[in-house]
Amino acid sequence: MFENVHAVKGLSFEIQRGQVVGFIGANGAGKTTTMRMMATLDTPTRGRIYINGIDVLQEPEKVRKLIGWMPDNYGTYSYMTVYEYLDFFARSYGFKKGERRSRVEEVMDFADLTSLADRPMNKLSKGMGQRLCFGRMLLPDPEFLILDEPAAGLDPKARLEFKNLVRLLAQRGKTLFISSHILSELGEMCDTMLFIDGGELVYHGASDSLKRNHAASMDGVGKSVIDITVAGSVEPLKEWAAVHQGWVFLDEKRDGARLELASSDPMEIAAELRKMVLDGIMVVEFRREERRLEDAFVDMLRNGNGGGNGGRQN
Amino acid sequence: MNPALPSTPTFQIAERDFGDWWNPLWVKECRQGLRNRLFVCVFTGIQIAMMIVVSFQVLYSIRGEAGDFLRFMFWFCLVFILHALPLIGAVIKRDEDCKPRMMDLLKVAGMTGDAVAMNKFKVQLSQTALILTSVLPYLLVRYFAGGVNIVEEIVSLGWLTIGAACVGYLSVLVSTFNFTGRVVVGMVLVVCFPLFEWFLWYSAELSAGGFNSESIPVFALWLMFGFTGLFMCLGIAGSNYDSLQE
Repeated sequence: MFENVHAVKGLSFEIQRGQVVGFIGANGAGKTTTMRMMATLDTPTRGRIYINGIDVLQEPEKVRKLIGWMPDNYGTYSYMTVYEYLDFFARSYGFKKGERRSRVEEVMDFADLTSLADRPMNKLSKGMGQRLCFGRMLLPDPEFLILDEPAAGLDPKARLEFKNLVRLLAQRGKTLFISSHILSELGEMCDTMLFIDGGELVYHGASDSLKRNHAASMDGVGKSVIDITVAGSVEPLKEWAAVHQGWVFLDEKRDGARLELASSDPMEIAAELRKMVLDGIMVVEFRREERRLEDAFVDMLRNGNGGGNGGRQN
Repeated sequence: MNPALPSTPTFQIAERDFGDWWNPLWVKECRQGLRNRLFVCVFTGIQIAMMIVVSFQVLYSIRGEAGDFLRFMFWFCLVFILHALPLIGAVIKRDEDCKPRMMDLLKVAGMTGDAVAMNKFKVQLSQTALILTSVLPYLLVRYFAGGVNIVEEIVSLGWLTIGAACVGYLSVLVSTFNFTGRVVVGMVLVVCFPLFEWFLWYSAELSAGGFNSESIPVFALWLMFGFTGLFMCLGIAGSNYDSLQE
């Protein structure tokens, strides 16, 4: 609680070992506060946090040996190289001589930092800096990794590299707890999603089920959005939609259009496609749009609850 | 980023590095401190200044002149570098461990604010020791060729070191203050620093006469304020580090 403002309230969830969990919320939703409390850096006014069965508030020292913490931005030290930075933290974590050296080399190899070993920290790009921060976090070989907005400000190449690192760690059985407000990015990486709003949990479940649940709610209305790509002009498709019942033209794309069909029955959708082709529309691609995570999240906030598995679930 | 590849480091790691018995924070501060441009400039600058001052003093001595001004310059250079510069540095620039998130990373790695403050102080002392050691040959030249009293000089050097220690813990504390705090301290120091130096050199002169009724209370004062200041300043600096929020 910050000066009578509850950053987080009534938040309760459980994460299974080895899962990659996405922690999503708008700016100011309470993501960083929650993560800092998990990382033993802030103390909640009420409540308990357990990591691996150890109480974070009672035994922070023990918890610190289990976790890796990566903040949303990392500070640089002047007059210090990448190797020295990792060596410093390796010393802090209690690695001695040869063990320390091999651990630092291992981490540099994993995070692709070997070629940067002699480079001063303050001469690193944002992506390189994030990799260094990632490497530092891995030094004690933690079981539970907490990453606050790790991909923020990264270029596409660095984002891809970061995703690969997450994938590799997940393969090694690490539990990753990653916050972001870029949902599509998390959707690809995470097994489970946690949505937080106003310091409260609004959804906890798989990203696929979130999309499905919200698609189902659209199905209930009996409508589908179809993305069609055509060869040649879009005009014939526009004219075809105008004269056929149940079709509403939504918007035009460079090589096609998005249309709404007043049905969600797969058989009816297939029949409409057949009709379209037989009528001479040069269909190259016909795709029923899935709900994007962003849309699902916005809808969920608008409706005031999570739907799906609902909040406060494991 | 391929964990399957064997590790083939292309970088140079010193075969003989800081030992494991050193505190990691001390190692970090030492590495940074010794590579710091300011330290390198100061270290080189003092050698040049000492060479000039001592050479002139030797010349004066050969001509049979006292060279009081050169004696003053010798000590002024040392006082400026060991006492004034650390304080100026602390007032001008906040310590980089006070930047957002820096302490978080140290805390997760098991470090405390007290350890950070103590090791910063230890490194300041190490740098002072390094500079003083480098000055010792000039002191000997002044003795053999400059006609100075070596005992008085060594006693003065001892007091200079005590002063540097006091300045060390004070600058560790000041560098944890925010901008306003450092500005206020800066203004206070303009008045207090000359008083501090006056008292230090007064104590040095007293100590040249050995222990007597006049010097014992002064030494007691130094002991009392020195140790109280040490624990108070480093304690406050430590809690400042610990209480840093994003």
